[in-house]
Amino acid sequence: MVRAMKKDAVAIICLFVALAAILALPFLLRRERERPGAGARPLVILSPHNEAIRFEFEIAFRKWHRELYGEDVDVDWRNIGGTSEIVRYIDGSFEASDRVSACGIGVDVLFGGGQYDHAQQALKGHLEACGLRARHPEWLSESVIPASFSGERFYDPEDRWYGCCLSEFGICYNTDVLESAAIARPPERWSDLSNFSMFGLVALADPSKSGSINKAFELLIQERMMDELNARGIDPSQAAMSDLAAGWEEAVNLIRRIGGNTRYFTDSASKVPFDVAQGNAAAGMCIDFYGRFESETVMRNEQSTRMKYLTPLGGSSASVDPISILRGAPNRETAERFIDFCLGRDGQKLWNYRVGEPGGPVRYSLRRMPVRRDMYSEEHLARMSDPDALPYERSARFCYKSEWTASLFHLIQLLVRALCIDTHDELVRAWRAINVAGGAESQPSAMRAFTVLPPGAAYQEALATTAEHIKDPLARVRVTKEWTVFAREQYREAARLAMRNGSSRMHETDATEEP
Amino acid sequence: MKTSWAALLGLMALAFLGLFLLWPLFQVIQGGFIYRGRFTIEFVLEVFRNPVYLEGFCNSLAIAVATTVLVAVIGLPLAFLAVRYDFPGKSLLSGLVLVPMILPPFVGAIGVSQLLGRYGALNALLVKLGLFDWAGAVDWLGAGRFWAVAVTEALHLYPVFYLNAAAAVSNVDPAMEEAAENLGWTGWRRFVRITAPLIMPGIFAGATIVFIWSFTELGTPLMFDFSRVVPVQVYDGIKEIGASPFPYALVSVMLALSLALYVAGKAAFGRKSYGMMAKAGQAAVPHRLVGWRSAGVFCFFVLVVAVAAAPHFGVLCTSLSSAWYKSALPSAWTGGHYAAALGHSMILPSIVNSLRYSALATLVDIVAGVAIAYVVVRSKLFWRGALDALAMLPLAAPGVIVAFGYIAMSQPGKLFHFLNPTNNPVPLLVIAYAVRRLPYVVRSVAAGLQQTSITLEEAALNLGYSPARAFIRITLPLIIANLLAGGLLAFSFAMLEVSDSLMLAQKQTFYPITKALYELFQLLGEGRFIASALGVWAMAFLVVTILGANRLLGRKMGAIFRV
Repeated sequence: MVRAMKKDAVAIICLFVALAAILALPFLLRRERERPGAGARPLVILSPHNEAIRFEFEIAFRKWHRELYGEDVDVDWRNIGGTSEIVRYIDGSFEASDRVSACGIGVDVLFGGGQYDHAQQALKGHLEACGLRARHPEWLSESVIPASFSGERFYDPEDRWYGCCLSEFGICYNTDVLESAAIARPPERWSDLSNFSMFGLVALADPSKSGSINKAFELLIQERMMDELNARGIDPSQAAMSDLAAGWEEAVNLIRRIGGNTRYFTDSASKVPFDVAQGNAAAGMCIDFYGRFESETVMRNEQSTRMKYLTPLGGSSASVDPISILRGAPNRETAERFIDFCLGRDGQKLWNYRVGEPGGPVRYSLRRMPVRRDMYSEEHLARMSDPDALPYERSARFCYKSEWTASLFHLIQLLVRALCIDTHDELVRAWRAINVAGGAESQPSAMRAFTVLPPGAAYQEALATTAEHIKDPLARVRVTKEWTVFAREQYREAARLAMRNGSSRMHETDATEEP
Repeated sequence: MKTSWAALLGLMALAFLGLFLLWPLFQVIQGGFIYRGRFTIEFVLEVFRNPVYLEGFCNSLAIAVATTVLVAVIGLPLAFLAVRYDFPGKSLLSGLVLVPMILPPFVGAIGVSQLLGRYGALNALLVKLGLFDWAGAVDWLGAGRFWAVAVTEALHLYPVFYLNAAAAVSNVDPAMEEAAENLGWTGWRRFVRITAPLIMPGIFAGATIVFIWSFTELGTPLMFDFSRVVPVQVYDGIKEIGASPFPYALVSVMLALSLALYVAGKAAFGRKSYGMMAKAGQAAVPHRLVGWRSAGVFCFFVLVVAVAAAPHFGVLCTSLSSAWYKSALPSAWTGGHYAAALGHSMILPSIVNSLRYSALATLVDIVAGVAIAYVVVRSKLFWRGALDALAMLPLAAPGVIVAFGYIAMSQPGKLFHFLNPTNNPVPLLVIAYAVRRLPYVVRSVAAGLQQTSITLEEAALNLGYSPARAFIRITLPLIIANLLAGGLLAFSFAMLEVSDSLMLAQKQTFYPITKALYELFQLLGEGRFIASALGVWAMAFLVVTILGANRLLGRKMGAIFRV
């Protein structure tokens, strides 16, 4: 009895010691962050940017502000999740504040998110002019911040939002997995992801979750349309609707074939490069800086060069992550100063300067590309983490034609969802059956079933009626269902035809081989 | 129980759930019923017209059934063995079997991926054993996804069932079983005819929570890329750009179906209960196992813990690694991620915040849970069934929908504008945590009350006790094991709450630990390693807390925590 009590006491003491040690660890390892004193100017920023970006911009902006205006700033970051959560939050908050006739939502600046999201907020009347055009007209020139590049808008002509840094979409791949799958040549173009040797090895971002990713799919479609015109020897500026229609159909089918090879469509921007680096996928579509960061992490930690990233030449435009001032900003003057800082050289250096470089980040390397063109001079490139990225050169070969597909933005999202995401199981089965039976060329009937476009999705019809029709929420739901059911049936039919043809081919081969 | 007393308690509970569950849900879900400014059910009908969504419902239902069966197969023997027998290491193992339920968000998926990935630890081990080469490596995450999801969920959720089942088994009056034995009923026959009916409330409590949880679980199907299940379809719809009313209609159908399944389950399995006069007052003495029986039971416990804690092991190794690729264990080790994670300026306040929010929420759950369970089990109010079902609803409601609801209802000009989380989210966070974890306490306490004869309380009333005093002095001590089990689950899961934490705690001063984890996870490059280190810290804290509670309470209660 006494022994049991002693044993108990020892166990309880051990648990208390363990608990004390666990609780003491954060106290012992704690690093204090310098906080602004009383009387600092407040600034409320809503941002989906990560802690690294927030940390570096806060430290640098406060220092800049103290030097220039002799006052400290108390930056109040509001973080409520990713861009989709932020958009809902802003919409809901303005709806509520408008109901009680308040002028704003208590937030000054929206920092980060895609160009699509800022443009939408501007349309809804949630943003107000920043005044940058009046304060720094010299910045808004082709040699500093162009109004548009590779077909993408870099700032709002009405002064409501400005691009702050650039992103491109590209392909990340793992040479190890490619080698295991006997794929000799690494992917260089989007179409390389449709090769059946990549079956089950591709990781894709979900275009229905992000305007930027949807844009990447739109660019992929335009690249294919352009290829088709080139193949037919047609001048793009003279292309007729029917010429573009062929390219559109080709592009949709390319997306389907890539979808057939795909493991998953994810909304998590970091999942794709992580899975590729870990060998769960051979290649994937990802945002440039995620790919570069993962590549560097693998190199640094494992001294391995297996993880690569490339932006397909002529396959991606450069898009911006903007900054804007929300309507009724309570600290308007400080908000304007923050925008001036972000778009000035001091702020721009933070995006890609190496840690410790004068004017660069102090703790985290951000690996994003600055929007200012004058930052790509030798003087700055020598201090950058990614001097070879050069988005103004790499994306220059791509020319986005808004008249071809801009009005189909939501239709593309819906099409990918119905043809690839909601019907992914059937798509994968059909694509495998066709290839197991000998491939696309030897299975014309199965391929016909596989590639047929759903009703209303042909180029002319999509432009003329469907794109407008799906603006109605109920019509959109019904069209999604109609296309999903259609695609499911077609994929099942394609798989059935491929399996039947495949087995009859096998019987024929058996028959000819019999003595 | 006096009807007026029950009605008052019940109405207070209804008001709490109505204001902090139904109202925020309504704020968001109403969007699924409005078209061009008018009420419509067209969006709901579209859910049933689309075969992909119908298939999603069937898959979710099948996963819930499979998970619940698997959980019962694992949890019931564990509970029986832990309560009825003594064996070497029981003290530690009966605490460790609870550990798998503590898997921190975000990093749990990384742990699984490191183990089961194509170039992960399991394949590395099998390649090393010469079973295949890397070109033939099995894609464990992509193959057999239905069963992968069901098994993973079962290994994560069996502690919920185990705790409730163990409480029920320990509540069984040994005299009942002895009487059965005297009448010649032994072994399996005694279990089926006597023990099983007596423990049915506990089984039902655990199984219900597991069933609804797995029916609406999002994280595990996402981890295995199994997208044709309703929670993933809802998530996909909500995250889609260009707000559409359709996902809200889908959520409405999911909630209605969850409630219908709960009511049907209760009608089928949860009605019968037998109160015992001497419940837990005279605990059975555990049998000491020796020889191969003892070794067998020991191995069973170790095996379950080892398999179920594999993802935790994956997170632990990730937190200590700087390179882990194509090898069974990391090829390079470091402790630096712990310094980076625990040294971050936001971590210490976030730990303090989480402890504060979770403790307060658990307190609210205990008060509200006991009140609801008491009304549901002891009263004859005609609407007690509705209150019971309503108390289970938080399990089925997607976290992100409820969080949006809280934000919507606390906007300027709205009824709860004074709770607006922008400047101080603490009241709303505590309420959110409490509402979402309430079902654990309600089910657990309800099971305890069903097993406790009301005659004991009636005797106290006859002796002049007030209803409240009779409950506190007589009934509460008899159901304390159930209360502790429910409270422990509520506290542990509140510490790991995600959606409300991410959306309501907007300023760093108020971040709970899960939001700090999310922030670290978002850092590029080393983020997942650093987040894993914080995840391991959170796991270690909760494990030691559970083991401590196990040890401290065990001696006092002589019930499920007796070790």
